[in-house]
Amino acid sequence: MNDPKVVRGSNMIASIKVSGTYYPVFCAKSCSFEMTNEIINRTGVNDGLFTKRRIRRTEWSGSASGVLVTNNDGNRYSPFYLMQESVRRSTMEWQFEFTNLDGDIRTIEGEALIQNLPISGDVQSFVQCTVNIIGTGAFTMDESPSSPTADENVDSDYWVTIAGGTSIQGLSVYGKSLQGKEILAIAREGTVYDPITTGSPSNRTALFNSALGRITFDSNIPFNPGETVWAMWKD
Amino acid sequence: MANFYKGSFVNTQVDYTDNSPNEQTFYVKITDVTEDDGSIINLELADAPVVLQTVDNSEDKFTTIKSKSCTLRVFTSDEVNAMIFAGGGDTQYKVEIAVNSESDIIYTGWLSLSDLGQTFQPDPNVLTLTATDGIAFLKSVPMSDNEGRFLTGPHPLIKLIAWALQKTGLELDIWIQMNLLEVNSIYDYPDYHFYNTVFLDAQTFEADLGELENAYEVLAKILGEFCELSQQKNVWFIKSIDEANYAQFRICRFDYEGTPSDYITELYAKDIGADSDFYTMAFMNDDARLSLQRPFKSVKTTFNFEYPTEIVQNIGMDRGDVIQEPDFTQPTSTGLYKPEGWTHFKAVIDPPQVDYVARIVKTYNYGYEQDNYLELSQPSPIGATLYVNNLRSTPVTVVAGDRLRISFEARTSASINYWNPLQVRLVPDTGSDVYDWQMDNRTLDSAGNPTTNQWNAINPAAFAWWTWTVNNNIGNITSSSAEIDIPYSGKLYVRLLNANYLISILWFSSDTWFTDLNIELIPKINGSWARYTGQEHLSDQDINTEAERETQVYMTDAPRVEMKGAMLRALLGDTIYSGNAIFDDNGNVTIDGFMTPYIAINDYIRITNTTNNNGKFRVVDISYSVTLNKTAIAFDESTISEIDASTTIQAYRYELTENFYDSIDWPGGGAPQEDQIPYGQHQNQAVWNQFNRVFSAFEATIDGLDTDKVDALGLPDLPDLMHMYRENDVHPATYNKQFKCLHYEQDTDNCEWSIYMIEVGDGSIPKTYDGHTFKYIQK
Repeated sequence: MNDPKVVRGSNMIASIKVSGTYYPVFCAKSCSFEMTNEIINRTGVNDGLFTKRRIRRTEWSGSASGVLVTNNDGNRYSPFYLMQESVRRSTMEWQFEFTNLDGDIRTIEGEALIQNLPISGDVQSFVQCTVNIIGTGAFTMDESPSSPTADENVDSDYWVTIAGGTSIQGLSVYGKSLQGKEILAIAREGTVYDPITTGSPSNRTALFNSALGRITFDSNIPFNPGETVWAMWKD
Repeated sequence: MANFYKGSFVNTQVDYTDNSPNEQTFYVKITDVTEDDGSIINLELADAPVVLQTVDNSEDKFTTIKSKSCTLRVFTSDEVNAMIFAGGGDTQYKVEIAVNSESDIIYTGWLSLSDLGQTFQPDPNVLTLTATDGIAFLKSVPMSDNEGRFLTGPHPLIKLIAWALQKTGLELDIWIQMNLLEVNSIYDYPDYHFYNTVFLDAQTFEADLGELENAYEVLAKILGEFCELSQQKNVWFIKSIDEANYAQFRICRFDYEGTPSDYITELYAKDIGADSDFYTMAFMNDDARLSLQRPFKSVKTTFNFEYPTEIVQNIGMDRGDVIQEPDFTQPTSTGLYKPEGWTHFKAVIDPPQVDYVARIVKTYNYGYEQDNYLELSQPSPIGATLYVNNLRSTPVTVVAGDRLRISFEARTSASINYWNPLQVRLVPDTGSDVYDWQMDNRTLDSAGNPTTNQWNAINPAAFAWWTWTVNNNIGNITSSSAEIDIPYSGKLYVRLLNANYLISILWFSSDTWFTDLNIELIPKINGSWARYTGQEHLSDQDINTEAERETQVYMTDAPRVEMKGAMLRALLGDTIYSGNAIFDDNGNVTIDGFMTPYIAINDYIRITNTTNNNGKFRVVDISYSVTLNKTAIAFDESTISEIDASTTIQAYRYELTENFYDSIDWPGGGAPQEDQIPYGQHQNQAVWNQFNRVFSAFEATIDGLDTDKVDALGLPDLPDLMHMYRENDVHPATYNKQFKCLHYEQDTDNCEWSIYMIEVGDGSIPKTYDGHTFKYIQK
């Protein structure tokens, strides 16, 4: 898959918070996170043939599986540490980190209890361990998205000019305005101009004023009769 | 052990929307009222930590008393477990549930030890606690006033209600949404509210001689077939079912002692509907079930004519302050008691001398009562002038034409010919004459025993009590009975007299004993005696159904003042005292002279002409000092220290109430004559309008609990029994209709709750008052 925003399984990491820092849990080979909504019916007498529903409460859980290690260090915490915390009935802060191919990171964090922690040893292989956790309270997702998520809403149109003038402003032929927009490209009768937002336009540059929604050209190159100005912009 | 156990939680999904922003904090406080050190133990609340529910799930709209309970779930720890509450009496651990802030209490109750439980495993376990509002306690508490004093005579309904409710151990204000007014009442004045102006004689609730029914029965009889009582908004709320279809409530507020405060008008309506743009509550779980209540052919309310056994107070002579305690450890012992409710005289109106004896004698065998009688004795010889030692009863209200039957047994210590052991005096309501009857036992049968039954009306005369004559040697035991035709309406008194006889010019007395006194009043109703056993109001219709509702009511517009359940009104009566009065700060006053003949315990009196102590007072104790010639009176109300030389005291007299009108329909009065009708008719027609057609009912689970809502008073406004409900999902079963919740269970954490609600009104179907009839019930 060529999409750089995908996340490979190897880039999903389950960690626990110890002394203010998140550490991955042992030598995990796989981990999972699951959110479940409890659905209840809310069909009214006038709702016709389709059942309506709403969500009552939300639960979340997770797990991590991997090879048992016996020590804690700067890169991982042993299942024995988790077991000890579990015996103490402690809630721990867990983090599930997802990194896409671009290196963008999203995280899910929340407090959880260890539900079970099976350890199995096979004489032919390494000792395997799984920790299953269940959330207590809500989880949070990081609030700074790693890539733009808003719709940029790119648009374009053209304006009819007045011969002798050097700027366009107001509504385009199809009633669009440049006010408050970010300019992407400007052209006069097929000739592309470089947009600038400060200074004075000269030759093949055009000054764009977003607040006024105005494009101004070099005063030495006034519009010819019937000339049009085309622009492309985004929100 | 701690003084307080406190916990809190934040609930969710308060409103019927997917993402409610209105989460509220609920506070749980358990107070050990036997501690006062301020210590606090925190409670860790478990899932479903506070569930409120109705205890009585009756689906009869006129179920009178709706007790509520609250189930708490907390985690156990070293400090919190079942045994912490093991020492609890019924009213040791007070539970308060509040929302928004600790002071916004929505429920108060008492922890019930028998409903407490937890798994017997290592901590933490879930400890389930149940708090009840204490109404169930009332079933085992005999009715009395707030101090446990025995009640006699007429009292305002609100006082009876307040005393009964105080036995829950809770001192909650009382709000009443019931707006019938007697035609003599003044609109919008709390003092003239129905429950403050209508009086009932405490003997309405007589269970046995000297014993009243339990407080629960008292409430049920006062409110039955008209109102509903429950705890709402941390007050006791009394709601007329006839007003259950109103969104706008007109409420009269009283404090916990029954003192009127003010009228308020508030909107208490709740809307249920699937459109979350408009409604915060909706049916959920797809489990709403519609059912119908069939129309009834008739509704009959019957009232039985019953008189108290104690037509005069303490007729059995078995109550009174102790003069001498019996010793129950001895094979025989004697207890002596001052007769409660009887006034002791020397002659007609003089206070008794200290050596005049009038006392109840009870003999015991190892604590088992063997005998019980009244003893009268006075020094003998009396002298040349006859002063008779005697006791006078409390008055009996009679109407011209009534008949009175009296019987008793008496005996004397000396063998005397005859004596007049009992006299009856009638004081008519109008005019100044009095009428006396006395018994003359001079006619003997063949065995030499008195045949009695000879009651001779004598001419009205002052000091008629003095006309007794005595002959010697008729034996020492007399059994007598007699019947009197009452010539005038008025008050009738009975006197029991010490036997006496004349030898030469000196009067001598003989110790006299009375027992088995019985007085029966036979009213002349509709021209007949003993023909009618009761009265009934009936509303009916000719429809294709056999459903009928017939219920007995215990409070109505009875034809006689003395009947149990007769609704009375108090009128200011004669001035009984004018003169010096010494008030203290503790509800006591001392006045001059021998006033016990005029003022009795449980009487209401009006005091005027003082500086600080004008008002209406209830007498809770009265005693006369022969030495000082002063009467000391204790009141239920407080007084302010004052000496006033011109104090005026007036008594109240009681008459049957007149007609009533609905002050919601006729605010300010002015109801036309056809809308001024007896209470019994209002009552019958209120019931009738809840059964005379098809009514919709819904049983459903509701999403949304309005825990974020407050009323116009700023009080939390969770949906409850008091509210009027509208179901806004368009359907013939809901359109234009108003509903009332009859039972529910509310989870205050996830704001889901179950409800049973039934239609109580339809905007397009007016109430009907046709088809009503009244009649007396014949034997």
